[in-house]
Amino acid sequence: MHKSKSAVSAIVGGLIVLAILFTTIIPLVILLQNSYAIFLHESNSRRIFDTDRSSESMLVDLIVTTTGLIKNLKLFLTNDGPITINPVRIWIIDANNQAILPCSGSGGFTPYIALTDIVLRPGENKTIDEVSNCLMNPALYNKVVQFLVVSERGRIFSSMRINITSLLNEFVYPYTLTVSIINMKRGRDYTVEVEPLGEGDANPRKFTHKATASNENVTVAVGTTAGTYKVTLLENGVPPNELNGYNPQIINVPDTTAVIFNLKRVEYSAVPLEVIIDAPNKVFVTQGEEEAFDVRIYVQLPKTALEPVEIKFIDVGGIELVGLPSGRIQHSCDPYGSFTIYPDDRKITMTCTVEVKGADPGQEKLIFTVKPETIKGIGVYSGLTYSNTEEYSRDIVIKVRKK
Amino acid sequence: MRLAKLAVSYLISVAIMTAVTIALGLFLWGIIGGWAGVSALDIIEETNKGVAQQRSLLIVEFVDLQRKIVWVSNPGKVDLILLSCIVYPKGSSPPSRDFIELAKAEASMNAPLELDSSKCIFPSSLDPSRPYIVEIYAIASTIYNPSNIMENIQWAILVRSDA
Repeated sequence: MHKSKSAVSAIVGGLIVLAILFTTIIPLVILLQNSYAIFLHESNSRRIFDTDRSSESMLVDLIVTTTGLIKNLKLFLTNDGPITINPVRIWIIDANNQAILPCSGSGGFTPYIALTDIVLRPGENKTIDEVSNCLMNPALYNKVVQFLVVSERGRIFSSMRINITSLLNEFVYPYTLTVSIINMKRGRDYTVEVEPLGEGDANPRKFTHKATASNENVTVAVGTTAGTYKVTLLENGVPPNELNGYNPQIINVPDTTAVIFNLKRVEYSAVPLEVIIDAPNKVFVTQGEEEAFDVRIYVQLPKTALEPVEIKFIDVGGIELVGLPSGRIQHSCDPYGSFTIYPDDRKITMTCTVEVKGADPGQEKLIFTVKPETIKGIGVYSGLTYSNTEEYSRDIVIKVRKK
Repeated sequence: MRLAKLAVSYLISVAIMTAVTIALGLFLWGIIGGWAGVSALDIIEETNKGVAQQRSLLIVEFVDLQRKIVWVSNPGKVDLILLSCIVYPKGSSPPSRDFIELAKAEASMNAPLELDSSKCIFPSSLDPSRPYIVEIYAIASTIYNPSNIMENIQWAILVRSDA
């Protein structure tokens, strides 16, 4: 009887313990395991994301592309990492001042360039054209820029620091207008103003120089776009009397790229260019064989010239060789490119190679001639044409020896 | 008679024993059930906070020292509430910070969030040639309690970046 009496409460107690186990402890353990699994999954997911993120690698560079005659600045992105990168944004910054550079591509100020649907697979490269709109801005002159490219995973890739000025000169202001002031008076302030008339743009638009010596000359280079400009010279704030009728000057770039204000207004006159033929006096040739020698032709601007001359035209057809039958002599001349020559200065204009074939033994005379108007130039200040008005020749003795 | 007396006491004693066992069992069940419920809520809450922190990510894209603007973005999986932003010279100790709700950074890389000098504390004078540090505290919006900002501050993330 005692056994059966205690069995009832033991059974009830056991049932309650089991109920507690199944309704609270086991669900709690399951919940704990589940929570741990969720956290582990999230942690693992983050670890994979961080690994992917740190595996991203991209090179950022600014390049110049040429399509026909049109040049453009583009950002060149190369994915040199093992995973695909989605660039989402480009910042253009002033690296020296740690500031955003304005990008007025869409009219208003946007601090960055938003990229859409750009995907760079491993090893792939792409160019971003949008930077061109932002960079073609005079505000970027004298700036050291840096590009920051932000990826979708939150990595930031930067370019090298790039001094943009030289690139902008080429793109924003493709033409260079030179303004020369000749014969300034000591102690006076001279101001050159370049004012666009219409759509042109110039940089700088104003330049001031104080003459520190009498008859000082100065030349200013102004970057411009194509267009019409009014170029004015002011002496101590007013137009100088010496230039009445010549100041201001209205010019059209690129038809005119030089303006000269000569305060003494010297009457320039062209002087003949002198030609110097540098050739051997005597050339020895073996009978029946060929011999080649060089003749160098120099041009000299006389001391009496009042301005430098830019040699622009050299006519190789103006070279003549007489004295030998045409079958025994031939020549070819290579002219040098355009260059500027100053008064009393001498420079080489062309080199001719002469080939002579030896005939019967003896002595013959070859005359090397430079005809008039073979070498021509333009006066830098006056625009006058300078040339060799005279004919120049040089005798060369050809001595044929027995074989 | 004696047998009848014994029978009554047996039934009574079984009933009493059973009742006591049931009462104690239910009491124990209640206690354990309550404890388990509270523990389960704690586990869920802690897991949520841990997950929220794992999902939190904030980057400083650029600091414009001239205009005094910090641009940040959120490449993570959860919206973030920015609680503090300070910029100070590298090498010096950071200034004291206050935790207030500055802005919400959505979990998207579509556009960066701009924090100007009204939201971010900058030094009174800035020299762009010197290096600076930007420090931002942010907390996942899922565990942020606007009525008690400091409630889950230990689950916030601290972003420290060179400026």
